[in-house]
Amino acid sequence: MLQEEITTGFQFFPFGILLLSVFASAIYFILSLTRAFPSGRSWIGLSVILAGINLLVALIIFLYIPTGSSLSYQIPWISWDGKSILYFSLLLSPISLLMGLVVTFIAFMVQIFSLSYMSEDRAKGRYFSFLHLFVVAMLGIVYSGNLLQIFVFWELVGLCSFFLIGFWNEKEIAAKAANKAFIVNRIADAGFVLGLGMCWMHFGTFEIKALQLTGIDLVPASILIPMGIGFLLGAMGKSAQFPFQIWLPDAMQGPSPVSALIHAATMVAAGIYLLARIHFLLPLPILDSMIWLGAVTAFMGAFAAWTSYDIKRVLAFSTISQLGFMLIGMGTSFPASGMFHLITHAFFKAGLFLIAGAIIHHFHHVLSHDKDAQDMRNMYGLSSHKWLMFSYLICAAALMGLPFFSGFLSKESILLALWDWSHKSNSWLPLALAFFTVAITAFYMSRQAALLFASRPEQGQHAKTGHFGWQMMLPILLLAGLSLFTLVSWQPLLIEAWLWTNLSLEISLARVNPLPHHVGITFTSIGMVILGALFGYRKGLKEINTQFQQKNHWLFRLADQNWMMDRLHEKFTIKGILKSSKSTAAIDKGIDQGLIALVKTGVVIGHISAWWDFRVIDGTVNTLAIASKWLGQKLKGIQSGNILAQLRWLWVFLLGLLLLVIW
Amino acid sequence: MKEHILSIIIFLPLISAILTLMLPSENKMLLRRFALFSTFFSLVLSLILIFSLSKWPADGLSYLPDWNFQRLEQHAWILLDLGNFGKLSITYLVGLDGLNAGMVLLSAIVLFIGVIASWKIEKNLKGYFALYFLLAGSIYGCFLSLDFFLFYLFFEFMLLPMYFLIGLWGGPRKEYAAIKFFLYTLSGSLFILIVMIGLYLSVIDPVLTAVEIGLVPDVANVNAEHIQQVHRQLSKGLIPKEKLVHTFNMLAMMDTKNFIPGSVLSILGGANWGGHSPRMIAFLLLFLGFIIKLPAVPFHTWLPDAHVEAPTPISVVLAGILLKVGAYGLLRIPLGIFPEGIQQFAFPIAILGLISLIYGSLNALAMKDLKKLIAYSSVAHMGFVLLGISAQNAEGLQGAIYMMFSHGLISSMLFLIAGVLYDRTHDRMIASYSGLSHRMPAFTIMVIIAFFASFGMPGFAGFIAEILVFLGIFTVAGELYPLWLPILCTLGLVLSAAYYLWTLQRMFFGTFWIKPELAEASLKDLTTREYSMLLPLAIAIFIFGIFPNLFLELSTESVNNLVEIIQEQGGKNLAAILKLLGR
Repeated sequence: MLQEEITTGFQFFPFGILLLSVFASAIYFILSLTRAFPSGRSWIGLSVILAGINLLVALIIFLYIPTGSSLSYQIPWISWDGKSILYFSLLLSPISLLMGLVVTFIAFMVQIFSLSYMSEDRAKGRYFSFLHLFVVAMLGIVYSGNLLQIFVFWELVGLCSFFLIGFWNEKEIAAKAANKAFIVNRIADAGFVLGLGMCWMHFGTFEIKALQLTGIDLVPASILIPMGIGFLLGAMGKSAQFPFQIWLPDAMQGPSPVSALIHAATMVAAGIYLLARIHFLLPLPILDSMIWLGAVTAFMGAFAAWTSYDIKRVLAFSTISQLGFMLIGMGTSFPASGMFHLITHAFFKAGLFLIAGAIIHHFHHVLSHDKDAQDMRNMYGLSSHKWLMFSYLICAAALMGLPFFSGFLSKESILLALWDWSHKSNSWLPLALAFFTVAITAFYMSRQAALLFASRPEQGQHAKTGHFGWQMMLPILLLAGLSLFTLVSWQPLLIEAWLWTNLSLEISLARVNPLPHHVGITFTSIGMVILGALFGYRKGLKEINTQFQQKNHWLFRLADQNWMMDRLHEKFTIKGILKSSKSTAAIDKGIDQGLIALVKTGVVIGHISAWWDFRVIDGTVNTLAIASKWLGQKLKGIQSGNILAQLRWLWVFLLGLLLLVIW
Repeated sequence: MKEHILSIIIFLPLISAILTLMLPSENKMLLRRFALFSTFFSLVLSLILIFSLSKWPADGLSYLPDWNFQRLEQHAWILLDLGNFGKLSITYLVGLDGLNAGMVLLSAIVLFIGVIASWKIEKNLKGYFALYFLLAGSIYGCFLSLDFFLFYLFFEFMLLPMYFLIGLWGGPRKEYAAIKFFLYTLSGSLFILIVMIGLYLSVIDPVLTAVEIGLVPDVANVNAEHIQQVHRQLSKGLIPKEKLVHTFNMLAMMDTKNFIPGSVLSILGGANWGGHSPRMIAFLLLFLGFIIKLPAVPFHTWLPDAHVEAPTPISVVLAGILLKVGAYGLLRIPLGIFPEGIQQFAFPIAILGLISLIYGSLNALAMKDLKKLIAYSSVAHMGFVLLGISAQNAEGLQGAIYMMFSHGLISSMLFLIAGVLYDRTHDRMIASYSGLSHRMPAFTIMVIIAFFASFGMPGFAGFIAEILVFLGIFTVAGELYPLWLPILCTLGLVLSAAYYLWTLQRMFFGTFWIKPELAEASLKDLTTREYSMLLPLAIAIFIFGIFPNLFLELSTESVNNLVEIIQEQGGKNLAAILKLLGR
């Protein structure tokens, strides 16, 4: 258990960040409504300064709270009867402090980058507004000490993601991608609600602190398993795990800086972060299934990345794959490895996306308008921008997991933890998949490197074109710098340095064993990376030389269509729902017509009864009246004194009586 | 003045209706301004009422000592001596507690906004506003009455203005929609009427009976002691029949001691109808009556037609308030008087809620008409109300009441939005539009707020309601019903997001296009009048989403009372009934 730090007044710092960003978001939103957005740079500059202040405050919070201790603070939110049902609460502990730093840092970088990237866009106000709102929401998740509060901000990051993916919503494809992202996430969120419901049902609280104190030793599996499934589903949606990964490639319709911040570094990692926060609530079967799911996702994502020519799409698939690795890490006995990879990945992947953004921005100006600026087949002459190339190579090397880069250390920690798990559970398939994925990762990254930077025949005609402003260079260079091993430790091959210690302090406490080291694992993974990289580079060169004539191989198609996932989704989920909605509409019409028929029958019966009333009943009465009149006239004879006639009537009467008796 | 504030709230609109009839019909602006002023005054009154709640606690409550009313007003109204059949007492009894305080506030807000939305109505304006005020008065009356007879009177009376408002000012199929609405609601209220008569035959007013049998000289001096004495004598059958004062007082009905032993609905020695308790049957009849009004699937088909044909302001009132009358009736009457019923039928009611939720959402997804889509989303949201009620715990009931309130605000906004579009082009088909956000950016922001609020985005009022209902139903999962039920309910979250976002994408995003027959020039952004009706609602939705305690504080105490009644009294009653039935 972490040491509890009690300081009053300090909570104003985290609240300060949140309020400042809410304020910034509101200002830019209002500015966006005025249509005439102030054209001067100063308005956007203010936004960047605010993002910088955020980073500074996050740093102060990080430095203020000593390593290994935590600070919590609560404000009642939903309450009745004098007792609070739900709190708005803060839990500042090592992982949230680190995550807060990562989020504010990358947000700051993205803000600087956007100065130049979005300078020509008319809807800047809206853009910066949602960027700030995203930071509020993300920090809301990160600093939260309450599961329901996490859910609230979880939905809010989804909202920001929706509006930023669909930022250029005049493109129908962007609007559709935004919808897809939101709805797929919403399906997973239904799982989150299940987790919350189970948690409330059994524990009656959402406070992470209180849950930690309760412990789960005595909780029956009938509670823990559905709850774990629920939270895991939620995490799988946000973190694009199989089968929810379909939304992430489409999400690349958003502006590239957004992809860097939201769909690569921070929001998509929120699922992993959630699992880290509630790791103590997850029972063993859930943890094991996380390893399998993670391995499958990692492999599927990497495999789908090797064919695309869209620079961002490759990176999107790579993000899916890396998130799979993180999930593997969370499932092992060393969940710190998952968080570890999350943090290193945030830097190098954000770097890669910003580089992609810079390249796309560049080709938007260079290429004629009918050509796609995201298509790597159209990209040449980039190698003349040496700083860009080297930044790219550093980030790519970190992603592949080459020694001396941050990604190597974090990936190594996951592989070692997975090896430990395989050993214990005696199932080796996830490990094999992971190794294979490492090779494919190196393959697609070096293919991309070749496509982007290798010299091409047409290069000779174009001298160095374009110019990148400092607003683009600075964040890219910083992020590339943070992709080196120095981020993690001063010793290039040491995993257990400050970052690891800090993370394991919080989420590996129950399992005090040190990470097992195995030279075989390290060498195999390095070997895989080198092998993959060589083949990938060759593949890239070959594609350039053959003028991108792809063979229509089934493996190629499988990868190109993301394992047919989209088609399956289209065919089963969407068509299924639409079909059932059509049939319910038909049922509704049926109910309606049935009722109308009922009412009509009533009306018809009414008419019949009216007819009956008029003809039969009234008629009978009338007939009777007429008959009695006639009879009366006839019967007058009885009293007429004619004795014979009277006798005749007597006979009739007696006969009738007789008949009645016999009958 | 202060002690009559409830009556003022009820009768102000009724007086306004008469005053409207006296105004000259040519001066339309005057009519509109008068309507605006009157509803605004009601709004101010109800705000004063809500914000001064704890300051004037009600006293002199001998019927239900445990239940706190903030205001209570009682006047003798009808007292008939029926000889051997005892005495008949109908009182004018109105009261305010946590169950209806929010509804009064909601009605005041929605009715005020409704007048702004009626600004464009030209046809027979005088008659329109007179009916509108009649409707308003009966809505307030219905929410505030605590005498069943009075409640029923207002409940039925609401139909009349509504019928004419839809039937005269509605769209092309207005007659059909109006008659359908009328028939449905009327048949629902027949079930309520049957139970009302049964209750009248079974329940006595302990206060008036105490006076009648000579325990005390007059009503003012009756105290708890006397009531206990009456109860004792009643249970022993010592009171002669002609001295019993039969009553419609709902507070008296909520105490099982006021039931005459051996009468139809009594717990002690009540009837046994072929192995069924009349009390259970009474619960089901009341329930049926109110869920037609709610409406729940499969009794909902009047709703889409009524909404589509009604003029915008009437749709707003219908969705914003009238549906809540059904929900409020459920909480107040069957749950309060027959608490054992909800214990017995929690599972089927939850199933009904689930079906309404999923079925309504699926239908919304299939709709091509924006207004119909919104109407079906109302059906789905009322499913949440049923689910919250079925959970019968504080979270569930609070969630249900919060849903009534938040849906009142949100659905009003949604129908106003449909109206804004219809005013411009006279076309509500989703497929007739694309990329509207480029022509009407401010309107699009309002649409986004309303849509996101409706599908339960955190930060808006709908989220608080949904999450409370979910907490409620998950808490009792495993006891009252199996776990799969709340899990299936989470599907509603997905579907609601799906139909709203799909609509948003089709109508508002993409490149600008409208059906060529429509007048493109008419697509101007929001006018000041439209801002003045949409913005206040948006702000209210936001405020009640961020500060839920503002509302929850109103309802807490009564919800706790209700939960207590359901769990304690309901349990006791259920045991007694089962014993009676020999099970």
